[in-house]
Amino acid sequence: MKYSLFRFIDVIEAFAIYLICFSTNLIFIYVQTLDLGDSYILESFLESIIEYQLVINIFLTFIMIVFHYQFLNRKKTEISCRILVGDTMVNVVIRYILNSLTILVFSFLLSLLLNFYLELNVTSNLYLVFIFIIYILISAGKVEKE
Amino acid sequence: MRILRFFILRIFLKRPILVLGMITLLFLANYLSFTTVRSVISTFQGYGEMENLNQEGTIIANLDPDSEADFNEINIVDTQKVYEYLNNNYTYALRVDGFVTSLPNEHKMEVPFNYIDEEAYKINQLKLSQGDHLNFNYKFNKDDIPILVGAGLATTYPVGSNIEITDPVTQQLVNLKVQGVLKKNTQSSNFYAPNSKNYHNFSIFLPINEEFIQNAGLDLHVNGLMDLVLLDSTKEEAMNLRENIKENLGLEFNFFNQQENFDFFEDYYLNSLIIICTITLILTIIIVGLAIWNNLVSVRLMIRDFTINLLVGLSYSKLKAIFYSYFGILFSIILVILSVITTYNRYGSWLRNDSTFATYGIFGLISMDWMALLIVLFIDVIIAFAIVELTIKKIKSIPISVGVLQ
Repeated sequence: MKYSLFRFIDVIEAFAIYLICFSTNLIFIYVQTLDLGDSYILESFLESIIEYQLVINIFLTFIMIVFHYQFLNRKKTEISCRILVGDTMVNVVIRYILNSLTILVFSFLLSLLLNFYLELNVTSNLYLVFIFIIYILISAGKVEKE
Repeated sequence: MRILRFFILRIFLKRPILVLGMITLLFLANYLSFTTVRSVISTFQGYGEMENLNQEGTIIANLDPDSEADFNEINIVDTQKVYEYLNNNYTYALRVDGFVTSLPNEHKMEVPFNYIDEEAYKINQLKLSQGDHLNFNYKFNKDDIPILVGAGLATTYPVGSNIEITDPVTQQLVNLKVQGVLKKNTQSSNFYAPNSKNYHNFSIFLPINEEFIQNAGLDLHVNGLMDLVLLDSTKEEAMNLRENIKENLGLEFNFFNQQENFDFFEDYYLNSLIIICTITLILTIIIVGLAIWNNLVSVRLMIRDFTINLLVGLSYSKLKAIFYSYFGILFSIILVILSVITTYNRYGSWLRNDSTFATYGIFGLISMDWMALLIVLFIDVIIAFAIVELTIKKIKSIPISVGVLQ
């Protein structure tokens, strides 16, 4: 993460948001595998939430858009300064994409531990990874200087 | 008002993604609390109905879930013997719901026939909007059978009108006479699924007496035993009936007295509700945590705008009022969206012609929904308080000079 725009706190924030999204998705899938016995009350309550599982997951991924948006807005001055001292916009963008992907991959790998613990399919979170990659690529187009 | 408009249009909406992010999170928190509150209200309603039934001396029958039941082996002569034994030795309440039949009506709904005996009728205390209560001393095949109709059938079949129809359980042509109309949204819950409701807006309640039961088919006989309630009875007497049913029908029934039912339901309801509330609390805390993060991020980006306004005379208390108004507007939008979704779901039952879930209500919402919305509004006030107070604390911690320079 040399010359990265990401500070430690930014990495933690992004990491936490990814993990919340991955864990929520896994818990939704796990709850469906549970045998709730005769408890119809619990079953119908969980059903009313699981019914909207996909919508809730996508809504939660929206928080990552907020992260990218605020991050790039805060970093505009820093990007200008870097370009002043000899960096290029292309390099900044490439580093931003690579750093974002690294954080995504690490959080995905960490979420796999939960996958194994709950004995769920390892591909469960892949669609979210795909969505997050799209967010990263779109936000890369918004890397601008002041 | 002008300052609020200025803040919303020139500061908050300048970064619409942050506003959308906040609406998304608050909507998730509201949807979750709404679902939970409605589930809890519905469960308590079901519990209330169960308490009406579960009085001293009542024993409720329940098919043993562990037994192997072979319904093909049962014939009408055997069930008639069981009911003869019941009539001679017990006082019982019998109610069998949901024999769906086609009866022309303006909403083209299928009509469930619910059969109820006098004792069950006394316990259930159905409320009427028009007409008189049922009487049970009619002669089967001679007199018209008095019935109650749901509110949705009242226009097609008003009080005093007659319906000639093949009864679904006796398979005989009967004359029904509408004696009363049920109140809108008359409902009943299942003992074991108290949060699930059946609405009787398109149902017909048909009174049954001993003569009717003897003429009825196997379906009514067998289904009637499933939720049979023995009144003024003892466990020993119930065990005699258990033996009789086992001998005649080969079915194993459990009979639970008042205390056993209370113990089971208290345990079942309480545990389920505790789990539901815990899940909701944890999820709400996570979502509100994200919403606070979202708002602090907004402050980071908008601090220059805030501090410039503070510099030119805006007080912190006025800024707080602006934030409360802003969240008031956001929560109002979210509550409207939530109401529209709920109305759409309720209206879906009318579109699907699902007579057991079709309900009447103001803007399509029934009292339970309004009550849940009111409680969600109260939860929203708490969430808004937490977010706004933390935000103001954050803004106060940034010196005006630093903020302006940003």
